[in-house]
Amino acid sequence: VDPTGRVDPTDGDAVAQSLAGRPEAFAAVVHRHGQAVHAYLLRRSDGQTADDLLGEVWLRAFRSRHNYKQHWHSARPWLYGIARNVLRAEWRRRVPGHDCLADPGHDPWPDVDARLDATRQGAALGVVLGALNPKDREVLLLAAWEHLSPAEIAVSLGIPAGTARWRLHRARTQFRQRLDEITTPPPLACTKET
Amino acid sequence: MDLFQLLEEAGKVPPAQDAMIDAAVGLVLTAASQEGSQSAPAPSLARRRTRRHRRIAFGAVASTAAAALAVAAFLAVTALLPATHPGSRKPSHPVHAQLAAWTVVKQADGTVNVKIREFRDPAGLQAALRADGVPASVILVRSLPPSANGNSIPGDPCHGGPWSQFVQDKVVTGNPFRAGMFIHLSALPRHAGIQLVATANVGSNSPQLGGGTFAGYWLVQASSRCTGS
Repeated sequence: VDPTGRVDPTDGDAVAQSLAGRPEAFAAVVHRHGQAVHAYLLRRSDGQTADDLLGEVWLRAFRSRHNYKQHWHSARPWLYGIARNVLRAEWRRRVPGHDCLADPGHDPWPDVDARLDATRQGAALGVVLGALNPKDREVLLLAAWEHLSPAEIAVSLGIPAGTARWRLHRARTQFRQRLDEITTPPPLACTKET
Repeated sequence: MDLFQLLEEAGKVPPAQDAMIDAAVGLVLTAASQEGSQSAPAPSLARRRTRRHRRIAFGAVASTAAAALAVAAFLAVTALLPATHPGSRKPSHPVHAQLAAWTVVKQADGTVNVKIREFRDPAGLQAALRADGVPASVILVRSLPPSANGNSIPGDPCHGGPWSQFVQDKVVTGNPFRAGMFIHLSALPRHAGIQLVATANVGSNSPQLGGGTFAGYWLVQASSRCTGS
C-alpha cells in the first residue's frame, strides 16, 4: 500500500494485466524487484557488468512473462533464474566457443572470488565456496544471499523442490566441514620435557 | 560469528541507484509501448532498436551525476521554438516514427510516463502529453537568459506559480531526459501545468550532455496559451 492508500497489484496480477492488453502493467514488477535483481547480478559480477546486464534481464523477463506461473507467490525466484541465464550468456561471450550451459562445471567463480577476497575472512570463504560443486554452491548462495526458501530455489533453477532441499543440505554440510578444516588450527604437538 | 552469518555478510552489496531502476522501468515501458503499437517494426529491427535503447538509457544513467538539474546554472540568450502545437495523437500510443526520440505512456492508474532520448520534435511531444491529459508546455531553447528565475523563461507565455518544490516533487518523479519521468496527475494542483525545457539536443549521444546543457521542468500556471487548457 503506497502513501496514498493505493494497493499495489501482486506480481501475478501485474503479469496477468500485462498479458491482457496492458503491457505497461509489468512496470510494477520492475519497481518491486529492481533492487533485488541488481543485487543478484552485483553479487556475481563486477559493478559495471551488473549495470550493463540489468536492462537485458528486465527485457527478457518482460518478453517471457507468459511463462510466469500465476500460483507463484513472488516473481523474484523466477527473475533470479532469468538473471542467471543472462549472466551465463555473458560468461559464454567472454569465453568464445565455450558453452557453459553444456558444461555445468563452468561458472564464473573467479569473479565472485575476487569480490569475496575484499571482504573480511573472504579469502577463506572463497576457497571453501570455490571447492563446492557449482550446482550446490548456487543453491547455497540463493539461500544465504537471496534468502530464498528451498521451494523458491527450485523455481529459480527449474528443478524439483526435493532436489533443491537435498542440494541445500549437502552444500551446507560440505561448506561447514571445509570451512572448519581451513579455519581450525592444527592441534599442538605434544612435547616431553626431559 | 555463525558460519552462515559470515556467508551472508559476504553477500552484502550496495543498493543500485534509483536512476538505474528507473531506467529499467523505462526500458520495459518502451518495450510495452512497442508491443502495443499497431505498426510494430519487423522483429529483427525491433531487436536492434531495443538494444540501442538499452544502451542509451543506461548510458544516460551513467551521466546522471554530471548532468544534475541545476536551475541556478541558467545562462545566456533565449531563442524559443514553437511552444504550442495542436495534439492529434491517439493517447498512450506514441507515433511509431518518434519512438527513437521520446515515448509517452499513460498507465492504468493515470500516471503518465515520459522518456526522452533525443529532444527532437518538442511540438509533437507537447501534443502527445496534452492528448494524455497533461497540461504541458514543451520548449527547446538555445540557451537561457540570465534573468531566467528557475520557473519561467522571459518571453515565453508560461509563468511559474506559487507551488513549492515539495508540491512539485509530488507531481513529478524521475527525470524525462535520463531514466524516465512519471507525472502523477492526481497530485497536480488546480490551475497548474508542467513545462519541460531543454537548452539543446539532450539525447545521450549529444557530446554536450552534462557539459553545460540544461534540461529541466517546473510547474507553471495553466492557461490556454501556455498549456492548452
